[in-house]
Amino acid sequence: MINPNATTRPPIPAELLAHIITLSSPSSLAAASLVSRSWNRAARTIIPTLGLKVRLKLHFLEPERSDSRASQRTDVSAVWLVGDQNTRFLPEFERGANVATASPPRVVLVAMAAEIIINCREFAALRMRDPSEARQILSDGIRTRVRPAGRLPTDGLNICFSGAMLQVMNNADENVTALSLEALPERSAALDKALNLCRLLQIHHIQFDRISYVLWSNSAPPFRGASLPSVTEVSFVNSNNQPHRGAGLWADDFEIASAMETFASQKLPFPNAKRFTTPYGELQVPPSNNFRFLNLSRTTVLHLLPPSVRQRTTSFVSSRINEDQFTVNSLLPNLEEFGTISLALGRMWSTSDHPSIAVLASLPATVHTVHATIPFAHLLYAASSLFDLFAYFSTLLPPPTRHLILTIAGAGPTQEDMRPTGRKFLRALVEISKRVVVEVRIEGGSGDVPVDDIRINWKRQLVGLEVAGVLSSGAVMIDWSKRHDNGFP
Amino acid sequence: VDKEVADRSVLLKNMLEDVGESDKPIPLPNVTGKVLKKVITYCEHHRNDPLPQPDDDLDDTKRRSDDIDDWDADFIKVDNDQLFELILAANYMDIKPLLDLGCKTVANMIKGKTPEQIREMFNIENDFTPEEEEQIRKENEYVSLPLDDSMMLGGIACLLYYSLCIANQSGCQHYHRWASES
Repeated sequence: MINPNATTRPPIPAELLAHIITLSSPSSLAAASLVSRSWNRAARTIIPTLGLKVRLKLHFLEPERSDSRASQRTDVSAVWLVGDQNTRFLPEFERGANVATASPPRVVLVAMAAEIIINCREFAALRMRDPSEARQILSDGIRTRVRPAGRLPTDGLNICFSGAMLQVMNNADENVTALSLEALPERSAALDKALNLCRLLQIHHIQFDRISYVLWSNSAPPFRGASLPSVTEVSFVNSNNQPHRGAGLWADDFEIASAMETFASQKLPFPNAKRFTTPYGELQVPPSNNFRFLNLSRTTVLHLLPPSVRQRTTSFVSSRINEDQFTVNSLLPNLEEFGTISLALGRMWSTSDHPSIAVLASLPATVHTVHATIPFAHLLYAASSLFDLFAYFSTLLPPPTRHLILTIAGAGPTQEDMRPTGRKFLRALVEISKRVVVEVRIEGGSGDVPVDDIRINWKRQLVGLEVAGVLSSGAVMIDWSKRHDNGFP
Repeated sequence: VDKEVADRSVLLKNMLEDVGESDKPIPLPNVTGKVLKKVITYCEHHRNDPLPQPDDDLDDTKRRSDDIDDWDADFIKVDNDQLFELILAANYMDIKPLLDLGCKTVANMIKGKTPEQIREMFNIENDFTPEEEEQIRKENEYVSLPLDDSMMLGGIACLLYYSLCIANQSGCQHYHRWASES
């Protein structure tokens, strides 16, 4: 069929049409193929891609038992579970090495995060000798699963192994103690293989449940195995493994503190790990190679740190600074960031022997940032005392302090209280904001009003007060903190 | 035209370097006067922009079609014939930002469109035989799921998960819960 109105303009080169198609939506690829022969030729130069961001979940099952039930088990093949959740766009696939070369452009048809569960007994069957082989075997397994499902062109499948969760799983019908001495050698060997797999796959984020970490730390030698230079982040996660629920939860304060000390002392084979997160606090290693202890729910780790780590610790932020056990003798010599001081109204700040007053007075001259917290409820019900509290607190801050990070937590205000509370609070910051920059972080979560709404409302009020000259521009900043949830990036 | 404006075109820049200081006209046989005027307008407006770098393609923002600024969006409001002429001229004169602008504009225009709508929009002749067309439709079945991309993603992901549930004989409770959440 000839279209009499068809254009006589010179044809668009195939590579330009292909570029247009890759800039459009994935569905345009199918449509473009059917427009005309020239468009079809262009579409054929594009490699459709299914981008998968993979999380490996390595399960250490109990050793095979010799009873009849166990011997009947046929679960010997690796289990692949793909399709945990999907995301629209994963830039790492777009930034593939082929982009900068003369290779055909790619279109990301589907980008999704996936979860793969591997039984540790299957590691031997994987026969991994080098990273490319390990990657290939795992990739082939994923492709095999994906291909029949959607008739997808899996030959162009891009796979990014983003993280690994090491989790000791028990068979549901077995009641064997996870950390029993007799099982230790076999499980340690399985863990060794799992970490080797992570090393081969160049995984950058490793999560341990409690049992896997305890197994590893009790192996002989402790934390054995080759170094994993690709790991940049380590996390402890609570296990949802029912039979091991008790042993799988990180509840031991000393255990976490000890692990943090181990991480900081670089006893773990992760030479490039810069972040260690646990349910009870976080340790960061910034480019300056100092140590930042943040969001701690205890101060125990302070007493475990060796001198070399103490010297390099520049941030120590714990919610338990107000505890009676916390002594000024514990303070670190090169602190730059310290907290968290609880700013509660009433009796706490009315007495001169309040423990935090002594701590503030003892902070080294290197401290430039202090963290403090105050509950929403105190803002709601405070009258003029709120202004006095902040004004008084500003006089207690060490002279070098330039920055106050003030976290507001607890149940938030109602819709009708939101505006007057913000007005009262911001006006109470007038004096202290002349002394230090106040960064307000809103962490409420159990109130009627979403935190984002509070932030927007208060920020609007802040701008009004700045315009009116009540507060200096930039002296108060409102933000909201983003808690790290130990999830995968 | 100022040299600074002409230098936005890699073709012209190279030619000017080759001929040196000269009053001789530079022939551009593949570009009509009307289109050239439009190209010059673009180059004059962007005369102070940084020149494109070889690794710009690795920048995600350069690979998106929804980041056209207001002036460019207004500039590129031309009929479809002139749009393709501009793309061809930008390609010939090697003006990468203008080429990207043209390609992104066309990419946005074809989003969510059927082959028939694309043909109609750009006045393209369907030169397939019915047999060829049917064959291509079959080959592209995997990408001709719902036209809405988010639906397509969710649909394929559900398909994957559903088939895996069956494959693993693990029941479909997960699928149903997951699908209802999607």
